[in-house]
Amino acid sequence: MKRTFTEGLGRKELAEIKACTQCRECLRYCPVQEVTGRVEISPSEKIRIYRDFIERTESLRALITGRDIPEQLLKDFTRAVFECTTCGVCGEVCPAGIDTQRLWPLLRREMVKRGLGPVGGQAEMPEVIRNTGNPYNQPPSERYRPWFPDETEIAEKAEVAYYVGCTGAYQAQPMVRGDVLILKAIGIEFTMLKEEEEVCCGFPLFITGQHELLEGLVKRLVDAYKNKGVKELVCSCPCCVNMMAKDWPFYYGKELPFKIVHVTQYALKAIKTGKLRIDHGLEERLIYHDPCYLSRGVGVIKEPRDVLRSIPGVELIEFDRWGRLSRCCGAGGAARKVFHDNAVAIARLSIDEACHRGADRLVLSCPACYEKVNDAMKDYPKKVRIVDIMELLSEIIYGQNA
Amino acid sequence: MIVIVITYIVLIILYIKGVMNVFLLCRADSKESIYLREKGYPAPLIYLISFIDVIFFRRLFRINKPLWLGEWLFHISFLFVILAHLRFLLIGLPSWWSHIVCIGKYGGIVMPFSLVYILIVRASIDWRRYISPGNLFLILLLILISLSGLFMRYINRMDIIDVKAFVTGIFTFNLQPLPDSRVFVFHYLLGLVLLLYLPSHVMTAPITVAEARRREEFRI
Ligand code: SF4
Ligand code: SF4
Repeated sequence: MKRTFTEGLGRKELAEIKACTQCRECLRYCPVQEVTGRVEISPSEKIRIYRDFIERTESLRALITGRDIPEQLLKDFTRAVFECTTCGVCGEVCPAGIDTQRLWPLLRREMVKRGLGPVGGQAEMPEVIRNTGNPYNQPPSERYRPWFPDETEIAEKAEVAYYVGCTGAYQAQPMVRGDVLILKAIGIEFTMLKEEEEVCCGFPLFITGQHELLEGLVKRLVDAYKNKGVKELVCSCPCCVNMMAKDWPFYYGKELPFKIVHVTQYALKAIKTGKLRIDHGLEERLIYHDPCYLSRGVGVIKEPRDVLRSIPGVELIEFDRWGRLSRCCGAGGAARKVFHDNAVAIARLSIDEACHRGADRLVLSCPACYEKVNDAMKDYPKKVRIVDIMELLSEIIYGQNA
Repeated sequence: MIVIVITYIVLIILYIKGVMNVFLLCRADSKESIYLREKGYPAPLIYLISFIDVIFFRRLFRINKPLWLGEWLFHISFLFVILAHLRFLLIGLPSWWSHIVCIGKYGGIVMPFSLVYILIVRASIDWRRYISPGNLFLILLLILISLSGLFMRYINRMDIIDVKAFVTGIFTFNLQPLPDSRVFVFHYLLGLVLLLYLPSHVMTAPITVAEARRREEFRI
């Protein structure tokens, strides 16, 4: 019996595929459309084509015309669904309310199950994660050592735990260093897993449709934190936070025994309760970029802005599209390496806008954005200084040599 | 006779399509991510809010107000036109149904204008990219259907009794002669084409729009 196209979908996803009105409102916001202009890889076309796959195989038409789908059509669809950054803005603006940020990974999974995906280096990810615990093929022993601030205590057990995340640990170290410095400044006792224990949260596997390892990874991590008596798990990477809050309970099989907190939420609470004091000011015009999985994913929009506003002297400005409508930095969807040109072109849209608005610095709060925006500035005439939100805060609190 | 045969073919196709869709939906895994189940408003309030989202197309309003105006007017007038048409199909409708028929009469006038307006709004963004071929086909089809309907209503009035006898005859297998009007046949056949191409969002979008509200309310 051949695999069907509805097999891997839940009722919600199936209803969503049927709910697309082909109105193409999503095209006006899709960052991949902005830089490629190719309608054939647009959200509406992906849904239309997938719907067509279902029609061709599981409908009256299938009985009459046979169930075959040309190989090329399947390949083109696979490429289209993997070229997306899974930023989810299409779902945000969709009048039918389609949850595209979750739908695309599930459609990707279907193509993976059919042996057509993933694309490029993504295919090696499960093996690499199995061997090293991270998708970057880096030694676990180097996960904390190169950036971890000196003289910082890590408790064996504590109610608060900090999860670094692979991208931060290996590719955006000033950011995670900033996180730890801020936790230290707050004066809270916190715990962390050992370097080899803190494995990938599963997000890159989820997003590329390779779901086999997920249950194992999630159970291993959740149980490890549970054994440490953790009540709040703090993390700064939006992708990890999103995965933890939305998908960990699913793979764990029940509610998590702890709360997931984004580092800006934690810092803001500390600022409000006086545990974190910002004594120095900063006379700068800052522009804040909302990471897709933080704003649209888990609704953390106000907190980072409140943190920035609590720095005396800061003038906070906004992108044209911000909050739930923010534009992707280009790095999402595990596509930033495979579709590098798209990613760089998208990142440059934000760089252009930040320059145009006269921002002194572009504030980010996602390790993938951090890496990508940095990368996109190479060989590009326009430049804007970038900084992670916790990196900036720690700079102000500890001085320039933080 | 041919019109009647076509009608039965269309009805059989619709029946099979419907059964297959219901089968697919029932068979699909109903498991959902736990976060959607646990969080959000208390149940009655969220249902009310979602209901308002659905009937007023809030999501579209938020994103594209000019288009919202056209789409909302079109959908609401289309709904009343369809309800008014039920009088050709059903026997024993309550007397207050005449009010619905009356609203449907105005709906019939609004419909073609709203459709043309929608086309203009879309075209003003970027005709080639933002109008999908499927959508364009549907809009043109609806314009033709509504114009022919208006023609029968205001210019070349049809005998309601004949129409009703013909339509109910099909459903009761008591076949009656086709009303003698080319415009009617045109309108009727295009109506059948519309039934075949009726977009599935008519059934599922209310569910996904309601679901989207829960997602929007989600905060860690
Ligand atoms: S906005 Fe939503 S309904 Fe409209 S075409 Fe895009 S996915 Fe489909
Ligand atoms: S998720 Fe983002 S990149 Fe992907 S189709 Fe939607 S808008 Fe485009």
